Amino acid sequence: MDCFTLENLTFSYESAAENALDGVTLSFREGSFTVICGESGSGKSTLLRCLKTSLLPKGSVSGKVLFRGVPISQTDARTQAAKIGFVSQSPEAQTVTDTVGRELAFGLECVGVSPDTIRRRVASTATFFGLNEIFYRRTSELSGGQKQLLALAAVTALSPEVIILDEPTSQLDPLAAFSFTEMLARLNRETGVTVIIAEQRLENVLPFATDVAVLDRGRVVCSAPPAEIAACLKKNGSVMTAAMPASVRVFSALSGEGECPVSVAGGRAFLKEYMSESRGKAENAKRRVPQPHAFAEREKVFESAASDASPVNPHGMHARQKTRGEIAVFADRCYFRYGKNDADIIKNFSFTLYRGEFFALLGGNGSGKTTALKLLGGIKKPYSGRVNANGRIGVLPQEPRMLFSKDTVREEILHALSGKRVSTAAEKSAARGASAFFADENDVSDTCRTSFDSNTRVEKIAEICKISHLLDRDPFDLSGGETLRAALAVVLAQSPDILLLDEPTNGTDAAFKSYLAKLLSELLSRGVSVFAVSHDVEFCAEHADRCGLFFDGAIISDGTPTEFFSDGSLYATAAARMSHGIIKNAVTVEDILTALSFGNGRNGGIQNQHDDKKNVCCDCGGRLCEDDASAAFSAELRRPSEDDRQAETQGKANVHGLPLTEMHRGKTEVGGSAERRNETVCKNRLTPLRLISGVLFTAAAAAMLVVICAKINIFSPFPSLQNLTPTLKSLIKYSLLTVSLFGAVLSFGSKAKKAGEAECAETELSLRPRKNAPLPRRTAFACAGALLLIPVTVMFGVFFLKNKNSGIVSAAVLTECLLPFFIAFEGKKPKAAELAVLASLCAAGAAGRAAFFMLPQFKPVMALAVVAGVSLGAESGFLVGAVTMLVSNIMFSQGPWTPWQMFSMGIIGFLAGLLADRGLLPRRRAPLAVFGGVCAVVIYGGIMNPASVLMYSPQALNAKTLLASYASGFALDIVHALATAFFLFVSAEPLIKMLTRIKNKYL
Amino acid sequence: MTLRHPAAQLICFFCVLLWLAFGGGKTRALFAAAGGIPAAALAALINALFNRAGSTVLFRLPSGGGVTLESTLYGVSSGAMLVTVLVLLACSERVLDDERITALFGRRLPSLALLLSMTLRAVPSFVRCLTEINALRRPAGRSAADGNLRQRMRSCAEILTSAMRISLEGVSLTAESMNSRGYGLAGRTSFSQYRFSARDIAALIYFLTLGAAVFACAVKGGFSFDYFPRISHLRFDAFCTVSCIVYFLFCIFPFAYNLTEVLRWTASRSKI
Repeated sequence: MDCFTLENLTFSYESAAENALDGVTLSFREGSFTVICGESGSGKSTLLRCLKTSLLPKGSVSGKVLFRGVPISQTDARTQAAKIGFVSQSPEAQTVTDTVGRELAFGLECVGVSPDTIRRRVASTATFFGLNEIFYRRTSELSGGQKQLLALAAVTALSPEVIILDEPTSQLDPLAAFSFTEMLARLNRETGVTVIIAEQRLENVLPFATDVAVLDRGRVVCSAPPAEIAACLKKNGSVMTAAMPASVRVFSALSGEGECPVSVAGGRAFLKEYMSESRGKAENAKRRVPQPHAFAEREKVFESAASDASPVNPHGMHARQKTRGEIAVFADRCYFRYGKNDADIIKNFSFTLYRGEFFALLGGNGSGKTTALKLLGGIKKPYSGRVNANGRIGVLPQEPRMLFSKDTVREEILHALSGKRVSTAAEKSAARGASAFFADENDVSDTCRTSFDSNTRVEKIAEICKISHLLDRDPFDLSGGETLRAALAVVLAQSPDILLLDEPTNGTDAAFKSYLAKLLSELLSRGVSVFAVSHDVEFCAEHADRCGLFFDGAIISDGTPTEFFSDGSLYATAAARMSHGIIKNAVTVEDILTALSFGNGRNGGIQNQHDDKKNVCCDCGGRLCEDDASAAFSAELRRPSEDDRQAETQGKANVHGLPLTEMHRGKTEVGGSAERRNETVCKNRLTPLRLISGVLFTAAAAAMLVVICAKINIFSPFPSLQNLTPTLKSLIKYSLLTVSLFGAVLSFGSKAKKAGEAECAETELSLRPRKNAPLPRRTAFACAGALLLIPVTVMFGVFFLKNKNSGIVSAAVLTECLLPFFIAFEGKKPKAAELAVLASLCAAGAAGRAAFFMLPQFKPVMALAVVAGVSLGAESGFLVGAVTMLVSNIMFSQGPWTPWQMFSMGIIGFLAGLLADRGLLPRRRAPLAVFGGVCAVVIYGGIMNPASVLMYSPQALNAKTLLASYASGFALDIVHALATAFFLFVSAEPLIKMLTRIKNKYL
Repeated sequence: MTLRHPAAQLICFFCVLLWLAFGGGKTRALFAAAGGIPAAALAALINALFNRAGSTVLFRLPSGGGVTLESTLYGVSSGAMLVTVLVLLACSERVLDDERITALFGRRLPSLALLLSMTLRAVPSFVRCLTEINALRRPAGRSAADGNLRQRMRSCAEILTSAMRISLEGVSLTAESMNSRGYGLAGRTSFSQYRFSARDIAALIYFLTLGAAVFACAVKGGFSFDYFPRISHLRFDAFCTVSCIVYFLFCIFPFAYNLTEVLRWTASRSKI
C-alpha cells in the first residue's frame, strides 16, 4: 500500500485569486525517497503542508489525501504526530528546548510514552545520529547543521513511518547540507522510512532520490524516477531544467540517450563517452577537432583598458569597464581574536579590493569569513595590523532584518538617507561611485546628491531594488526575497562605495540570484566595489571577478573563477568537478556546452535560440537568458509568493482585515479606533458585592499592617483576651492580616471561577480571545491550597522561629503567592504559540539585562512585563515578569532576593494587564510610561526596599528603618523609573502593535 | 542558618564555605566570602543605628538615640547570616542548575518547565542578536556607545525592539514544530535523566533525620541565645554541646558526601 496518496488535490489560500495547488495526483510508495521540486511559488510547501492536519494552512481544500488508505482528516492527532514527522527549514526556530537530550525527548513526552521507553529511544536515536557526544550540550551552542540534524533526530525518535521535509538545507552551508542529506538517505535506506522532501538545491538530493515530482504553478509537470526526469522535463519544455544539477543539464542539452546521470561521477562518465564518440565521428569525417576549452577570457582582466576585444559572455552580460587598479579597501597583516585567551580567528590577513571589482570569499563554515568581513567593514578592529577604506562602506548582514528598526520600509530608507555619519576627508573625496548612481548620467557633481528631494531618492532606490510596491509595508512582514531587496535598499541608501555582503544568496531561488547579479553588475559599472562572503559556489563562479578561499585565518589561493575552480580542487562547482581533465577551464555548465558546441566560441557566441512560446533556451539546456530572467522575475513580483500567502493566512487576517499582498497598509493606530474595532472590548464586570467585599478586605489588611507595625494593642477592649500570651496575641494579629489579604485577593482576582460570563471573550486571566473557560476543579483546589499555605507559614514563623526571621518567612510566603499563578497557568493548558511568545518575551527581558554593552540603568524587564500585560492579558504579564527574573537569576546571578523580584515584577505585569483590560490604562505610550515609572518607585521599590531591611535586620523592621530603606533606595528607584518610562515611551507602541498582530495571527 | 547562636553560625558558615571551596575552587570561595563582608558591615551599621533595643550604650548619636552594643553585635550576627546565605546560594548555583530545576518542575508543572526550557534556549541567541545589531550600527555611529545619554538609551531601546521583532517572527515556526510533534495531546509524560537510586534515598533519609534532630534541639532550646536586652553568656552545657555537634553533622553533610565520592572515585581510578 502506498504511504500517501493524493487524488486531485486542490488548495487555495484564503482570499487568494488562484489555486495554490491544482488537481495534484501523486502517490508516494512505501520506503521511497521522493523529491518535490519547483520554482518558488510553485506550491511545494503547500503540498507538504496538506499532508498533515496540524500543518494545514487556512484555505479551502478539495480532493483526497489518503494516509495508508485512510483520509488524513479522519486520522487522529496522536497517530499523525507519531507517524508523520515534519522538519522545516529554519534550524533556529524549530528547536524548542534548551538541551539536546531534552529536544530528543520532547516529542516522546508529548505523545505520552513511558519514561523508560523514552530513555531507550532517546539513547538509540542519539547513537544512530552520532549525537551521543553532544548529548548534554545546549542547543544554542550548536551550529546550523547540527541543529537541523537534531531536528531530524527528534522527529525520528518517534519512529515515524514517513518524514516530510520542507527545504531543510536551504539555510545551511554546502558541507552541512551534504551531511544532512546523507544522513537522511541513510535513514531511508536502513529503516525504510518514507521520505518526502521539497528542495531547491537538487545537486545533493537527486543522487539519493527514487522519485522526482516537478511542480509548476500548482500542477504536477513531471513525476518520474530521476533517470527519466530530464527527458520528461525537456518534453514539457519546463523551465525547471535550469534548476537541475549540472550533469542533468549537460545530458539534456547534448540530447543524450539512455539513463540520465544524476551525480557528478555519472556526469563525468557521460562526458567522457560523449567526447570519445564525437572524436570518433570527427575522425570518421576527417575533421580536426580542437581541444575543447571553455571561454578563457570570460573574466574581465584588470590591466587591459576597455577595448573592442572584450569578450561577450554568450548570455548577453556586457563586459564591465575597467579602470586601472584603484584600491577600495586594503587590509594589511591583520590579527583578530574574540577573547584575550582565545585562538586567533584572523591570522596574518592581507587583502586588497580594487574599485569596481566583485570579490567573492569562499570557505568552510565557521572558518572566520564573516569576521574578515567585519574587519573590512570597520565593525571590528584588529588587534594588530590595519584596515584602510577609501570610501563609504555599506554592510548587508547575514540576517538582513537586523538593519530594520522602523515601521515601514519607506521610513527605513529615509532613516538610512539621513544618517549622520562621521566621514573622513578621504571618504568625502572618494565618495563618488555610488552617489553617481542616483544622479543623472549627465550630472556627476557631488552637490547633486544634496539637491535631491528625499522622497524622490526613496522612490528611485525602491525602483532599483524593485520594492516600489512594498514601501508602506512593515519590513518584518515581507517574504525572504523581499526582505533581502528591502535590506539592500537600506544599504544602498547610504550611498556606499564599497558594498560588503554576507551570504546574500542564502535561501534564495534562481530568479533572485539573477536579479542580484544584474544589480551588482550595474553597481560595479559605476565604480562600486563589492565584497561578498558566500558559500554559494555556483553564484560566485558565474558572477565574481575574483574568488578567494578563506582558510586558517587568511585568504589563500585567490584568482579569477576559472583559475580558482578549474584546477581540480574539491571546493569547486559541480560543472568544474565534472569536466576536470576533460574540458579545460570549464567552470559552469554554459562553459562546458560552449566548449563542446562551438569550440572557442568567441565570435558572436551562441545564438540565443529561444523557443518563444516556452521561453526555453534550447541550446543551453534550459538556462534562463538574462532577459527571460528579468521577465520571469517581474512576473513573479506580480504574483504573490507562497511565503506571503502563508504568512498572511496562518491565522486570521491582519488588523485591518486586508490581505497582506494588497495595497499599502496605513500605519495602524495603537489604541485608536482600528485596534478597538478588532479587539473584543471586554469590561470585566465587577459586581457590587465583590467590589465592596474587596474594598473592605483591603482596608482590613491595611489596618492590620498598621497595627502590627505600630504595635497597637487591639485587645484592650476585650478584657477576657488580655491574659493571652504575647505569642498568641501576635498570632491572632497575623491571622487576621492573612485572612483579610486572602479575602481581598479572592474578591478582586479570581475571575476564572465565574463561569457565567461566557460572552466576555477576553478576560484578564486568559491569553486567548476565546470563551472564558472556568478553571478545572483540580487547579482551583490547588490554587486555594497554595493560598492557604500563606497563613500557615506565617504562623510557623511566629511560633517556631519566634518572629525573628521574617526574611525567611516572607520569602516563603512570596513563593507561595507565586504558586497559584503558576498552577492556574498550568491548568489552562497553554497552546504552543502562547508558550513560544511568552518564551520570546522572557528571553528578551533576560537578555536585555545581561547584554554587556547595555547601559546599566537600562533594565527592560519591567517595561516588557507591562507591555506583555497590556497586550496579552494580565496573566501573561505576570508570567513574563516572574519568569524573566527567575531565568535571569538562574543564568546570571543567583541572589537571595529572587522571590521578591519575581513577585514584584509579576505583580506589575499583572496590574498592567488588569488595568488595561478595564480601560483604566490606555494603550498609549505616555500613560504607559507614567505607569511604568510609578510602578518602579511604588511597587518595585515598595517591595524590594523592605525586603532588604528584612534580610539585613529582621528585628529592626519598624517605621524608621522602613523610611531609611526607602530613602537610601530612592535614588536607584528613580533611575529605574526613568529608564522604564523612557523605554516605554520609545518602544511601547511598536511592541504592542507587534504583539497584537501576533496574537491575532496565531493565538 | 536561621539560628542565632554564634557557635551555630560559625559552624554553618565554615561548612558552607568549605563546600564552595571544594566544588568551585579556593579563589571562588574567597571571593564569595569577601563579597559578603560589605553586606555584613552594612547590616551591622543598620542595626547599630536603627535598632534601639539593648542596654549597654556605647555612645550617643547627635539625634539623641544611643548606639547599643547589643544591637551592634546583633547586626554582626545578621551580617554573618547574610554572608552565609550568599555563599550557600553560590553553592546551589553550581548544584541546582537549570537542568535540575526543570527536572523538579517537570512532573508537577510541565508547562512552566517547558517555558523555562524554551526561554533558556532563546536567551543566548538573543544576546548574540543584540550584540550583532549593536555592532552593525557602530559604523553609522548609532550603536549603544555613541552619543549622549538620551541617544544611547534610545539606541538600546531600538536594538532591543529590533531583536524582539526578529525573534517573534519565529514564533509560528516554533509552534508548528511543537504541534507537529504532538504538543497539546493528553497524557503528557515527563522525562528526566535523573533517577532516584537507593543511595539517594538513603542520603535523603539521613539528611531528614539530622534535620529533624536539629529542629528538635532548636525547639528545646539548645541554641537559645538572646541579644536583647542583654547578651546571654556563652555557656556550653551538655545539651548545648550536643546540639552543636548535631548541627555540625547536619551542615557538613553535603561536603562530606561529595568528599567521600571523590575519594572513592580517585581510589578506583588509581587502580587503572
